[in-house]
Amino acid sequence: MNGPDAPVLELRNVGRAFPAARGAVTVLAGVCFAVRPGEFVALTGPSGSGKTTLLNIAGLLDRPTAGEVFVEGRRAAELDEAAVDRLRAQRIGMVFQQFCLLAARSVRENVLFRFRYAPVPEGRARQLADEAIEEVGLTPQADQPARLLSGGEMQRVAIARAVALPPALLLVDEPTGNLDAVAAEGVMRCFRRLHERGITILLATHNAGLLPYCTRHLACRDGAVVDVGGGRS
Amino acid sequence: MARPAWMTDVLDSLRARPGRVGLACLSIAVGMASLCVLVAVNAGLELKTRQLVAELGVNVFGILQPAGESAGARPARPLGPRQIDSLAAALPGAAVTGWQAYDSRETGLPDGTVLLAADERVGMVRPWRLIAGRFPDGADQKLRTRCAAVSATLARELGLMLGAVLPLRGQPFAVAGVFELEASGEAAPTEPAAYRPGERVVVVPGSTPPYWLGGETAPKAGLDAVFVRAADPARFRSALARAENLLSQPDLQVTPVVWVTPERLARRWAQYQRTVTAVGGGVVVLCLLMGGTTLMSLLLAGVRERVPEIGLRRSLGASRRDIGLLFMAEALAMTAVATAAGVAAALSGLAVAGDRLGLPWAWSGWCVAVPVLAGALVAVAFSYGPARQAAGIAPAEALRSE
Repeated sequence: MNGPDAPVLELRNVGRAFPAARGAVTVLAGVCFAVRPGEFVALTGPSGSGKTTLLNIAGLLDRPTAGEVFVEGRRAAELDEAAVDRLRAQRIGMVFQQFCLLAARSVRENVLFRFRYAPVPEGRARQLADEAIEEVGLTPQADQPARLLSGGEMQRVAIARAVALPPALLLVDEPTGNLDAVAAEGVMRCFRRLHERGITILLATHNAGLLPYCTRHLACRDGAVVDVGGGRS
Repeated sequence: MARPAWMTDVLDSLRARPGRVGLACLSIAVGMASLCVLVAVNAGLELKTRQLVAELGVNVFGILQPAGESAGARPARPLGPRQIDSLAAALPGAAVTGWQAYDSRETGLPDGTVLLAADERVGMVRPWRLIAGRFPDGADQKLRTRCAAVSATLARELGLMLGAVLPLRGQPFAVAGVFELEASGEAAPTEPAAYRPGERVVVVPGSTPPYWLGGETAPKAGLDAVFVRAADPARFRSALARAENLLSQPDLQVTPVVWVTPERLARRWAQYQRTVTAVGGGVVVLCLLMGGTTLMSLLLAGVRERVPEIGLRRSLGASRRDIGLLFMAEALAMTAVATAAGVAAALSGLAVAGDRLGLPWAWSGWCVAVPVLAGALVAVAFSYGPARQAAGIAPAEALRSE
């Protein structure tokens, strides 16, 4: 189970329903898939198809109402809250459509924020943060406040923050949803470089144009996930 | 040295809303200032009580004959040498003294100076320490010598030394002694000078007033105060009881009369203290409630505005406890600043205006410790709800709200 090719993320019959006034609304049902180390998986589907819910469950930000989630072979349901927090702090990176930056802080401080709840010595954290900023090509802007950056730059800061502490799994939600084509391409090139460095990525998008960057394609349809097959080779 | 991460978090959050943070700090600071004043005044009242008891003297009680409703009214049954002699006879080992008190209008001495026409035992009974010379003695009483003992404060102010001449209504009195009073500051207007003469005192032989008052002011018929020093602490209560019993006898009865004992002094001031504590405490509680409520509303607004940030923190591994502590730390930081400002303002205000307002106040460590503790309590109590609310936000929901 914990061998080199063991899945980083595995979902078995995962379901998620939300309580509503007229009974529960089922968003996901019977979702089964696994993401192995080194994969760059695209999860596509129209808005409201449950992609974000799925990413939240995969990132241990939400609990499924049915089924089981395994992260690096560990059954999430068996982990206590502190262990889940530790996994999020040290093994899972997340990138959101809205960037979620601290506007008043500089690029470097935003990337350093990755280590706010991770037990990494300050000097090492600074070194990792600077490497991540360089990786996304923002070294010249490192001391600029985040609020002065363009959308594409903000998303690259968010990526640097997510990968500053190299994650076992990088979860990405609509990374180009708020960007123009040029900025989107820059951001996707960043993801490609990270993937080539060996980072495992699960990327949710409704934009089929991003599929060429990925190695596998999962489609979210009517609350289920279908493995469509390969992306780029 | 790099600033700790939690401090950066707190400072960032406070800087983001300077107006509202300032308002919350101001309202807490008002509460803390009033609490500090209350503690300082309480300490001042306690100190005053101790000073008054010390001023009265160890094992000493006083018998006062306050003036009637109209100034200079003659008491119905005045204190006099008969009572002193009877008390001395009835209380073996005790020292008994008495005096008449004259104010500056009657003596021509500087304002605020009290002249005591006393017998020769005054230095034995009152806790006054001779610095130089002597008090008027028995021979001075018999010969009606024009001599005086003056308090050190007055001697300093008037430049009087032993042998110097102090004129009283044009009559020269030689300074025979200088003494230090165990004084607790100026006597309040409500306190009889006969009991607490203040810091500027002249003691002359009790037999001399008719000779320096001249015809302008009539000498007093009786004594204003008699003081008894019991032989030892064990005999204090019995001496007091015997004196009360003695002066209630038909032939020695004195009216009106006020008994001054350490217990009664302490009780009277404790009553002032209770009143001040009740009234001041009410004001403090109201101020702190107002400050706490302002703080709470600021934090609740902060929770609503910072839901996406809470989501981000949770996605980066923050526990619910971390999120709760973040808001509590902000509350503690604000109350710390407000407490420091409030205490500084209160102590400066008291230092500048306290004496002018006639407030007995005293600085002590409690003036800081109590507001600091209260500040911590206010911060924890009023941030608990918002912190709990913030900690309870589901991370997925929080991120969705972006």
